[in-house]
Amino acid sequence: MKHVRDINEDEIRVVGGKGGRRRPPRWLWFAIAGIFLIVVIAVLVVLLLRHGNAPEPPVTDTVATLDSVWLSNTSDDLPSCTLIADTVIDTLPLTIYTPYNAVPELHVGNLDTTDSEIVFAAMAADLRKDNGKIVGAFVLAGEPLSWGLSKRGYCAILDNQITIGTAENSPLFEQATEQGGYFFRQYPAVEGGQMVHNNPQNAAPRRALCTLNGNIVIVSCNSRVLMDTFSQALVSLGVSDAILLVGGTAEGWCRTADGNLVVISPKHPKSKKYTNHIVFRRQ
Amino acid sequence: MKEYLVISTSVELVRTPSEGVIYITSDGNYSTFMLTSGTTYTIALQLGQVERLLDKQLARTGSDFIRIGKSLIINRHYITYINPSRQQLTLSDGRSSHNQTASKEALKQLKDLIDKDLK
Repeated sequence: MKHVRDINEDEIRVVGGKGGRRRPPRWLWFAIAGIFLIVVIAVLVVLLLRHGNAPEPPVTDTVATLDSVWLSNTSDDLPSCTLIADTVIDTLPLTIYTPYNAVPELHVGNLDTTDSEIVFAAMAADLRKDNGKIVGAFVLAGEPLSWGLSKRGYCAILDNQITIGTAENSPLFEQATEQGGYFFRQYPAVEGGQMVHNNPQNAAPRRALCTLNGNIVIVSCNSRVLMDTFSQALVSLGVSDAILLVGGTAEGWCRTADGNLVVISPKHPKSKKYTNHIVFRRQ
Repeated sequence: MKEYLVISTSVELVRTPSEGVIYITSDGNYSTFMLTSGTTYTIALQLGQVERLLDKQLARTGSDFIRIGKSLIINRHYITYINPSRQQLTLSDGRSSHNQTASKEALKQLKDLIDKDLK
């Protein structure tokens, strides 16, 4: 087995360097280019003769198109799905996932990516490394699975409505237990349009559950960034309230309007009993 | 004729046609194979060891695979979108899309490589 040298993050290499394609002879390229040129000139002449000065087709930009789809807040014709928009804020590439016509809930245990009822899923609350249990208060369909305050951010789901906030004590925990709702805690990122500072200083891919222009969206940054840098980018994006979701390579996927599965990050090989997700299902 | 990739450790074995592998990611001493069937397999091998096996076993289709940085190997046939400035790389087999990230410089090199293949 031949030795493979180490590789840096900024490098790429073709794995099997052997057996490359034989390049076609140079004259063939000239011949093809010549034929192509003649065809293009002929087509142009025909078009000019038939249409005169026809206006050029508009040049569309993929990102602008995505943004406009997202900002227009969809039409009623769309089925339950997740709208995806890319943008760059403060030099950070961000992806905005907007579950549309979908009902939120929490789920504990493994999820099936082939379940077409799910239009968005991402891991929600962190798990303890020592015993695999959920960190902080957690309510699943009215049943408290975990108690305690470890992180000040919270998400409550009551009557299919999501509330994102930052508080050491929230009455929404009790309401969730009484009304069959859902509740979990995470690091706060944005409170009332202001960035919330957090202590962890490691850089990692980040995800956040946010309120943006009155809509619930999930914003993801695949680059490795500090928590505070990501939170500041959310503020610049216009997010009013946000908590982080499990970042790094935590499992997540969604379904677009045409039913395509988009894997944000594949299933983790070591999923645990209390692995939990925030899930948006078809309405 | 299909070329098969066989990854065998002391406890398990994965055998798959090379064209069925969309990408391979690494998590320390583990490598995860994402297949077109939607299945993922996690094998206790480092990505460098997997790269050597690809090189050794796939005489014809080995060059379909591209190592990007320390933690990713992709099958070039499934590349659908590269944006170096956004550090975005999307692989798709027509049924599902997979977003991966890599350094800007690596993605720029990848884009140049694919561009060059066209010329």
